[in-house]
Amino acid sequence: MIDLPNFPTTKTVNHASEKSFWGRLLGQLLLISVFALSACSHVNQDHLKAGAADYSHYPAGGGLFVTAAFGPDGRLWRIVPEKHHVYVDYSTDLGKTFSTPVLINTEAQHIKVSGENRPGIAVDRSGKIYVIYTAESTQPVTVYFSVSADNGRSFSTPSPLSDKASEANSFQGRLALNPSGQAYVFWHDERNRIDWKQPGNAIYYTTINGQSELSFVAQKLSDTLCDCCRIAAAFDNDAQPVLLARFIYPGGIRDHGLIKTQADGKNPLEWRVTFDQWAIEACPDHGPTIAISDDKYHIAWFTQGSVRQGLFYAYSSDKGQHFSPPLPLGNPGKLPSHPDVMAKGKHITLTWTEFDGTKTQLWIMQSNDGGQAWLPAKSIAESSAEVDFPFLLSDNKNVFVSWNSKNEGYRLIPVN
Amino acid sequence: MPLKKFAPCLLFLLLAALNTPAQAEPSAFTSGSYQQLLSNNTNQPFMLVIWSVNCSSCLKDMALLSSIHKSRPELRMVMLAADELSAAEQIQQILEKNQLSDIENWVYAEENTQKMQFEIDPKWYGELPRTYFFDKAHQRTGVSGVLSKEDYDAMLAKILK
Repeated sequence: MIDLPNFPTTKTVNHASEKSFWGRLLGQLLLISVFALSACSHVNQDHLKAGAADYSHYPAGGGLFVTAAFGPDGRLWRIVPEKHHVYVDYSTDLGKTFSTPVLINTEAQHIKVSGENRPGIAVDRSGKIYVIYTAESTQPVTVYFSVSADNGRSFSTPSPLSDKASEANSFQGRLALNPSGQAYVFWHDERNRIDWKQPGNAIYYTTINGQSELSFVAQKLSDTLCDCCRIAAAFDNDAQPVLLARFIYPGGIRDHGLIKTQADGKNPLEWRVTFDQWAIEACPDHGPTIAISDDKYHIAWFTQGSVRQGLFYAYSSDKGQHFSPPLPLGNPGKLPSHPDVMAKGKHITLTWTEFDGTKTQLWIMQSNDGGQAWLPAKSIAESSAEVDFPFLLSDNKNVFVSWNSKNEGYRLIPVN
Repeated sequence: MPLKKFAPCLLFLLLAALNTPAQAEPSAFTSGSYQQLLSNNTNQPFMLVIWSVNCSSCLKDMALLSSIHKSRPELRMVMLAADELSAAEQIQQILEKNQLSDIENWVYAEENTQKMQFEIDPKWYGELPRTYFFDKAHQRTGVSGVLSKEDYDAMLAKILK
């Protein structure tokens, strides 16, 4: 049974490492004076509103590229990046209100996030919370890692994840927990780049265990990847990570491939799975998604290849060796984008966004037979300004779309 | 009167403060700026290069763009950085390094990049670099990705005839 931490009686942002009374007092005085000076703040300084989904209780108004994950007790945890600080908060009412944010990095950093280069959060069965995010260090971009072992009351001092963080850029990190709760982080790493005229990046990864949390050993997983697209990750029945990513194949073709680690120190396997023939030297900024359930692989991706253009879905019943004919998703005239897929047995859910020049619509589509037959897609939300990508989450009872937007705030939308 | 004496000086300062097409600082590109960009180049063929300081493929193309600019001084080039205002300095540095700082250049200045992208081209997904070739009547062709010298020559031949 997880204990909920007590809300602090003075509702300010918790600075995890400030232990002294004078330190805390000074911190609170500074915080109050910051609020007093902030021009457009409509926050009452005495009672910092803890808990709207509209970020009015955040020091700098929150951020767009937010990642969320359910914990074992049904709490929804979020990592929220602002310009110089990253926070974690949680909701006990399915995203309607959120707790007072807890600060991850007490030292200000130049946080660097985007749709493809996102912060990550994962909560294991014991309630341990892992987070990753990118910020500038001695290198332009570095993946940082932090963990909370006290149910989110405090977080460890963030540390660079890559063992070569000070020598080469690390970015586009992907945090994932395997079925036993073992944490993996995969990321794009530039340590092997020698000839910068040759496109193609490497993926490195590390596992994190209880004892050696802070000594990360990085292993190379693959290279010749398109460095502008996020990595998708899932776990196979044998608990091996399976990644889906955009590669650069001979001829400059930016199609997708699967990468799977093997036990017993054997080299990872990798093979190409989409054949859209998108020959281009460009940054698509549009990564794929993968889910694995009941021995089936489900993937969705974006392409502008000569063979097909737009958003597509396919499934495989033989562990990714062969895939079904790509199924187009969405209205091609409305820029369908940034898909996510979730698989629970035979129940498959897809989500993506569409844009008509003014409004963004959030779409979902469901299958009850493992991806062969699909119910008609439906639009379940919309936004009138900037939006983040949609993500499918489940608390093991229901499926939701986690969707952040500038004007409407954060929404956890049930998929019915 | 002292004001009369300083008037030319003030006028100079005022003019210096106004943005002109051949300027050093990138202009702020917002919703509606695409129309402004077109009218800056009325009745002229031109090439619009959309790029980003974070786009490795775009930076690769810079040297070639630089040599095109030098060898074709009659070609109007416009550059638009799909970054944000805070990247203005970085944008300037890259353009100066490639002797491209004397051409009309813009940077996204609104957060809703999706909207600005759509106003430029409702069929464009935002992949970079993106190059548009406009003929005199402003009929345009959009191409995604790094282009070779042969590609540029072929496209420019069409718009500059």
